[in-house]
Amino acid sequence: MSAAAQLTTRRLCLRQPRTTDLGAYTRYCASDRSRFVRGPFTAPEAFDTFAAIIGHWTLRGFGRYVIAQNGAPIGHVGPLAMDERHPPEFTWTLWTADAEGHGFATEACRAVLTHLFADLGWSSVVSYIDAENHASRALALRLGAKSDPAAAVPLPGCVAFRRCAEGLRT
Amino acid sequence: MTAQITIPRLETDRLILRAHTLSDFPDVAAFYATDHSKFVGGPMTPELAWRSLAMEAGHWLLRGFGRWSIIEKASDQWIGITGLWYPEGFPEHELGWDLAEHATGKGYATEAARAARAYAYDTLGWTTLISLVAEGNDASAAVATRLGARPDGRFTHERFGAMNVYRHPAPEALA
Repeated sequence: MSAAAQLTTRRLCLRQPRTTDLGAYTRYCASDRSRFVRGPFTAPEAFDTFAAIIGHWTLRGFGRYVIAQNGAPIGHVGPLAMDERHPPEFTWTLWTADAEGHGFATEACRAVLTHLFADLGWSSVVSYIDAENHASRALALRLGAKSDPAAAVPLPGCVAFRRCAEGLRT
Repeated sequence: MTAQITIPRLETDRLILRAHTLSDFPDVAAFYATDHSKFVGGPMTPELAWRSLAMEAGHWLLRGFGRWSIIEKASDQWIGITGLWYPEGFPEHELGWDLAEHATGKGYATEAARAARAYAYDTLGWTTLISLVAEGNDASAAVATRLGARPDGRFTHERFGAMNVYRHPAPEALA
């Protein structure tokens, strides 16, 4: 079953990425905010990654949403699954410092997780978070994820957080 | 539903060019797994090969054109990729081709690329086209030459390094 193309929360619209989001995404990639995911990245690298985010939807029928607030893209959130031997990964990113501190990431993550667990019947997702990324680690815990120190991580210095469906599946 | 673009299906005497699908992944991963892919960014892990396939699919939506999977009619097997490529960082619209090792030596790359070029000129109305060939990739340079493309300087990509530019004949020269 494919994921919804769009989800709406109280303050946000979560929708599929569009060509017009590329500029804002490229600015995020060039900024210090991408340091926890091996950035900063050049414009060509940002294009390739953004194309892969879009293509993930085409190939799998689900993927990461762009978070839009008052029509402006401020981040991305959602699942990705490149290697089917592992459970789907769940990521979230706010593209600018201005977008922080309002609870937008929490609101967006909850909406997508609820959709994955309650509507699509997924059982769990895993997030890999840089040990130094305290804001993201705190958010993972707020979302009800549990740290899984024994899990294999794709990057050195990362901690795995697993969020199971309990509590979000109706 | 997922944002979609209708990706055209092209056909030649021996080949079909169609949109990439998830079922192409094992073939794409196998292509990128060996040294055979060393001139086009490989070898790479299956994870990076998956990302590459997703990027190919996303390029169609971002640019409105892109690359196709090449299917050999006789066997119904995936044998490679060809098409129109213009990611950020490329100097102009590029025609590229990647062929699985077992499918080389049969003129397939030339046949597939010729169909992609005809699509660029006849359907999209483009007036020029280049191919970028990595230094030392003699097989690819031979395909470019068979297609009538001629050396037209060099281009250095931030990740792929120095490449030779081949410029294709203009549409009117092929008519």
